[in-house]
Amino acid sequence: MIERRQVAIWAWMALAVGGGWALVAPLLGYRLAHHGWGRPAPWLIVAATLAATLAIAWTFAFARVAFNRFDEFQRALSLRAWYWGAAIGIAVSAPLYVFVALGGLAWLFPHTFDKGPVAARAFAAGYALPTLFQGAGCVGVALWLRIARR
Amino acid sequence: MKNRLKALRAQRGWSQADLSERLDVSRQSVNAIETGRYDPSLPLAFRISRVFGLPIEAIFSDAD
Repeated sequence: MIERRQVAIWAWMALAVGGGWALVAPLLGYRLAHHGWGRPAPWLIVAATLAATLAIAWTFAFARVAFNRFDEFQRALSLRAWYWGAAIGIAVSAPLYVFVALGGLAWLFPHTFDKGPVAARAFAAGYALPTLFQGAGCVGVALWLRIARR
Repeated sequence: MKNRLKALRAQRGWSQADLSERLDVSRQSVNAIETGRYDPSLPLAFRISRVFGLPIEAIFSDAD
């Protein structure tokens, strides 16, 4: 039998993820309907950025509520999964990053990916952004925990 | 860390779900503690000792 605690956790998580998507989905749908994959209008870029900020705040708030409902074993499991999952994910992606950034995809699919150095730089920046922010977030939380525990 | 949780629970005729309710944790946690996959925190160990009416050292022991 499924425990009530578990149902509540799933409900909060569904609210976190579903609510976050609901905040950005209309603008993404509008973009695809009116601009396809082409360059969107400036107002749409600003609106989508604001919607994404709201969506992340929403998702974090409700994910925190769900996390607070975990018992200590579930918290330990979740923290370990995030720590090792993220570390392994980055480790696995690093050689793939080198392969793609140096033009490996153009080598494999010359007609699709041979877009030159601009595409390679865009890919490198796109990879670096979340990776650097993840590193910065990790250092920030570690420092905060050290200060908070004094 | 070794523990006698499963034996003590069986003595009382409690299921894992019964014990998890008394401890206010998930059944998954009770199972993980019983099978030695997870060592509970000190506050949870104290709760376990209160639920069984036994001192902590009568329930948990060093694996060495």
